[in-house]
Amino acid sequence: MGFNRQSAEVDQNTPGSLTYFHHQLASLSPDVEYIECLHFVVAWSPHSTKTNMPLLKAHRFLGIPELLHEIFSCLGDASNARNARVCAQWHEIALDSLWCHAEGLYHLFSRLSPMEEIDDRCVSLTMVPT
Amino acid sequence: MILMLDSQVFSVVPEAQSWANFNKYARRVRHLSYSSFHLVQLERRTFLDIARTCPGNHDIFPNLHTLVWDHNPEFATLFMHSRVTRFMINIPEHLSPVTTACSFFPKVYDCMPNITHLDIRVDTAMASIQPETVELLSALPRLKNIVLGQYQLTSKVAECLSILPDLSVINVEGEYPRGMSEDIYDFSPSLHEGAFPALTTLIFDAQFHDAQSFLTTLATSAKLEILWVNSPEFETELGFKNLIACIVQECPNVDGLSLASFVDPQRPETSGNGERINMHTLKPLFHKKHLTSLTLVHQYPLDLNSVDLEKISLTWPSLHTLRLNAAPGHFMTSDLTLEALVPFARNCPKLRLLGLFMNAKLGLLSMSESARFQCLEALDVGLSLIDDDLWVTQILRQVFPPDRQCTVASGMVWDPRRTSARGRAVMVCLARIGQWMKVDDLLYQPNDFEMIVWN
Repeated sequence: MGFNRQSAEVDQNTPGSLTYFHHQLASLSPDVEYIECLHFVVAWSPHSTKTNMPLLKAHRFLGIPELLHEIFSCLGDASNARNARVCAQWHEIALDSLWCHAEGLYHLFSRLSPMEEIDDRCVSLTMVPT
Repeated sequence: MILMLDSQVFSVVPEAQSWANFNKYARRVRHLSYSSFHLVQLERRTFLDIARTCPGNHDIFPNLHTLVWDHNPEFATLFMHSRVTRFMINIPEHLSPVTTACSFFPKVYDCMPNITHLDIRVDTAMASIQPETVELLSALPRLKNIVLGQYQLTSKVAECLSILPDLSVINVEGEYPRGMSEDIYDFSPSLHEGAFPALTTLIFDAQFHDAQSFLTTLATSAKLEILWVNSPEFETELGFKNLIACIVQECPNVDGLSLASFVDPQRPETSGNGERINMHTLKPLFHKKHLTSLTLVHQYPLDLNSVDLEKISLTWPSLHTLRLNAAPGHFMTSDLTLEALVPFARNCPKLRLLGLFMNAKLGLLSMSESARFQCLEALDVGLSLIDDDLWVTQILRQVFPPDRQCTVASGMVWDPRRTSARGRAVMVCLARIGQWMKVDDLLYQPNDFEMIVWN
C-alpha cells in the first residue's frame, strides 16, 4: 500500500484529516516506504528548506508534540532513529518513542558503558566432558 | 538442548560520568521487560556492576511505570521504585519458587507499594507460598487488577483480596497449569460485609457448587459484569443449571459469562441425553437480554437443534462472542451441520467470535438461503467433524464477511498430558485440526488456484 500524498493534502482541511494522516503513517512499512513518507512530512516541517511545498497549515500539526508522539509511537525503531536526526523538536519526541518501551537490557546498558560478549554460557552448555 | 545465548559484561566499568550520560536514555524508559528468552542476556556480574556503580539513592529508570520480569527475580529489585504501578513476574520451577517467594515478595511491597496492576505467576502449589502471597497482597492497598496462575486463587487469597477497596479485576489465567487443583477444592472464603466493594470482573477456578455458594454469599455480586467459572472437575447438566439460576438471580449485571467444566475425552459414556446441556438448562439466561458474551465448555456436545439456535440468535442480537462447546470431550458425533451458522449470520450483526461443534460433512447451504456475517473475525470450530475441506471452504465463503478476513480456529480444550486420552482419540483430533487448518489456508487464496484444484 502506498502513501497517497494527493489525498492527504486535500483532506487536511477536513476535521478527519489528522486521523487520516495518522492511519496512513501507521499503515506504512517503515523500512520500505519510510523514505517517501518522511520526505513528504519533512517538506512540511518548519525546518524544511522546501518552502514551495503546498499548504502551510500542515505546520500546525507538525508543531504539536502530542500528535508527533502519537505518530512516532506507531513507527518502528529504525524509523524513529532516523526521525531523531530530523530536527531538535523531532529529536526529543523520537527518542521518547524509541526508548519508551524497552525489550531486554542490552541495548540500554550498552549506552551506559561499552559491553563485550563472553562465551562462558555457550561453552558450558555445549562442551562435551572428556 | 543447546542454548546459544549471548552473555554480555561491561568491558569498561561504568563511572559517575557514564551514569550522567546514561540518564538521557534512562529517563525515557516507561516500560521495561526482560526475559530469559531474550537472545542477548546480561551476565550476573553485569547486574552486580550496575548495582555497585549506580549513584546512591538513584532510580535507574526514574519514570518507569511498568516492569515485566521473566528472569531471576533477584535482579528485578534493581529497577523497582515507588512509581512503578504495573508489575508482572514469572517465577519458574527451576528457580525454587518457594524459597524465592519468601525472600522476594517483601521486596516487592517495600519497593513498589503503589502497584495497581499485579500479574504474578509462580510455578508451584499455592499451599506452599500462601502466607507470603497473602502478606504481599495485603501490603498493596491500591491494587486494582490482579492476575494469578491457574488454581492459585484459594479461599485464603480471596479473603485477603476481599478487603482491597479498589480491586476491580481478578483474573486466573489458564494458559499454563501452575498450581494444584486440590488447593481450590472446597473454595469457600469467609467474607465480611462489603467484601470486594469494587469488583466487576471475576475469573476464577472452583467447582460449580462452591461457586454458587460464593456468589450467594458475596453481597456485591450484583456489581459483577464479567464472570468466568472454570471447574477442575466434571460438572453435570444439573450443575450448570443450578449455577446459571444462581447467576441470573445474584448477578443481574453480568453481560460476559463463561462456564467451563473439566473435559476428559476418555470419560465413559453415560446414560445419554440427560447429561447434555440443552435449552432447558439455558432458559433462565434468556432473561439477560443484554448478554454480549457467552462461553460454555462441557464434556458432551450440547443438545441443541436448529430451532434452538434460531431462538438463541434472536434472544441475544447484541452478542459479540458466543462459544457453544466447540470441542467437547465426546466428539465423534454432532447434531448440528454448517447450517447452524445461518441464524447467527442473520440475527447477530455484532458477532465477532462464534464457536460451534458441527458435523461439517452434512448440510448443504444454498446461496439464496444463506446470510452473511457482518463483522465475524473468528469461527471456532473446535473438534467439528469434517470430510471435504474444499467444499467446506466454499460454504464458509458464502457466509463470511466479504470485506474482512475471518479466521477458522480449531483445537481441543484438554491437554493430552493431563488427561487419560491415549492414541486414537488424539490422532482423530489432530487429523480434524489439520483439515480445518487447511480450510483456514484455502479461504483467502486466489480464485485461480482454487479453480485449478476444483478442476
